[in-house]
Amino acid sequence: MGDGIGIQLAFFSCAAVAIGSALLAATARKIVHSAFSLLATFFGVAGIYAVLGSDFMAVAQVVVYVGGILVLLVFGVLMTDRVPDEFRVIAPRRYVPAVIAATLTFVGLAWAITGTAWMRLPHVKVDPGAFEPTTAAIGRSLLTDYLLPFEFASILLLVVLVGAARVARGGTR
Amino acid sequence: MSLSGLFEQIPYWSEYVPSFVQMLVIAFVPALLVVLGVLTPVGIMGVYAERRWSAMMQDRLGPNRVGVPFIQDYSKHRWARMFGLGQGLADGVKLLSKEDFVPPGGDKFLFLIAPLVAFAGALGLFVALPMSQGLIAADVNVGVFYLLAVGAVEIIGVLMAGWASNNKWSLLGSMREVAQVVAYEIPMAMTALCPVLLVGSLQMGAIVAHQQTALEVWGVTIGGDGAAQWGLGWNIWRAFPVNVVAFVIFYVCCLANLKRAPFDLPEAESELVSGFLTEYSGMRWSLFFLAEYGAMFALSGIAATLFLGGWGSGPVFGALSAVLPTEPLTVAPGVQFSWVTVGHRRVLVEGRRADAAHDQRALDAAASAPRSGHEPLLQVLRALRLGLPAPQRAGGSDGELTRWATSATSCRASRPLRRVSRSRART
Repeated sequence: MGDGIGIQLAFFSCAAVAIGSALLAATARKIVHSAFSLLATFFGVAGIYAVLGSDFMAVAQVVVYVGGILVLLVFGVLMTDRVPDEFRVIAPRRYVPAVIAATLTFVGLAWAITGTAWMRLPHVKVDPGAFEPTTAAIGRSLLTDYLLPFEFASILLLVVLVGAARVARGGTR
Repeated sequence: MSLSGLFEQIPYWSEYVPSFVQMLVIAFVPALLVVLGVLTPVGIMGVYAERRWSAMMQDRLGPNRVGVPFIQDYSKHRWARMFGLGQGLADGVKLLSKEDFVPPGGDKFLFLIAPLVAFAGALGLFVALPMSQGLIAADVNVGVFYLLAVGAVEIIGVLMAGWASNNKWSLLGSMREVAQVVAYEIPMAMTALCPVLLVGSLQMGAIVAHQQTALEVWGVTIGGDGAAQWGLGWNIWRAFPVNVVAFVIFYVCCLANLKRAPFDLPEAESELVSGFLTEYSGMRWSLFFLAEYGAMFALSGIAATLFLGGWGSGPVFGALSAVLPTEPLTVAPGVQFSWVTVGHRRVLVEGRRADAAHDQRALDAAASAPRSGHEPLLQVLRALRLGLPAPQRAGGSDGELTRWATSATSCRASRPLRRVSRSRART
């Protein structure tokens, strides 16, 4: 089963789902539709992770993006007053900065992707059929090589948590 | 022939079919088996048990007496009752014959796919749920993590339904549900991690296997390798007092996740009609219900696997481990109704009363205070703040439980209502 065509088929269908729904999110006339079509985008990306043999990342993608960010996003949209239900995508005067920002991002990403020697990176495996679980390896490197960034991230998250609690409680009343 | 036996046959077909077709078959056959063989009967049995039991408790005559059509009870000259089995049939016929209705002004596309999204979320739970040796669709090595993740999909479906219905009761109900589920997912994940830490693996199969080994409590070995047969190897007894507490917390979080008795505020019939289900009818409504009962079964199965030995604990204790978490959730909502709800009724009533007073005060404050530009963000944060204690109230005699019940339930949903009443006050 680990042969080429099955993997390719799975990869390209995941990619098609991700790209198609991302296009829908960018072009939908209703902002709620944009938010909900991100569901398919996130699952497409999770599927790509799974196809590439990164099981933990695939599930983490679903937990973080679908269970957390998407729910927050939809809540934000639904609870905000006066969201224009249908909106013309962008006003003309914002086209120029939007195009510039998009082009810069695209060029940067393309440069990074084409400029990296993927096959020579230490963690990359060339044979997609040889799957091995990644959870233990991720845990080990988080607590050895990447301990400092890991702790920094957790302190940042703790600060955010306390701040959010403070803001949500409102004033002293 | 078991499912694993079926899979062993696959190499023999493989010469005749291209491999991606095999992949599709391997993916779809267990999925179909789950839908047809597990989810639907589970949903139907759950509904059947719940209808009978609650009918008994609520003095309803129908569900325990309705006859099965065309099966004669000749001694009584009527259709045979057969333990109320006719009720499920009647429900099914009624639901199938109802109009598939989209409310005017609603978002048609989202309204139509919302039940499917919610159903897919519940279905996803069955993929990594071990039924027996080899009877698991995919024993993925991130099993527990995966199971905690797919639950989120159902939430999205509920939000979709609430939004697309173009009905404020639906929206309020779906927001309540999502806030509740998101809030209780955190303690649920924390307690699910307790057995995972003991076992050292996220794989459901490994968790079951670990509970077959000898049990050691406070340095004393109790029972040998066959201990699980007698319910001794269960994770709930390991690291002794810790996992008992973890199991209780996990169970409470399951109740909240599934909107069962003390946590049924998302569907609060007396105030929200029936929450996000208000505009649904017919098969789409029953898809939501199948999803709910399926998730109930799956979560009970997860609880049994994590804490109570899963399928690995002999016939007697296996039945016990199946019944312990399942019984209060699916088989006997009536019992649960009596032992959980009555205990909390006073708390809830007082909570709502305190809540009404609190809302009135907040309404007065909001009417006088200028609105800040951060208002939308603040609302989101407030809505997600459920785990925190509610703001201090005058008197302060409500107690911890009341405040917990209040902050977890109705006080969030009253926000949009407040706005409505404010605009009415102006005109």
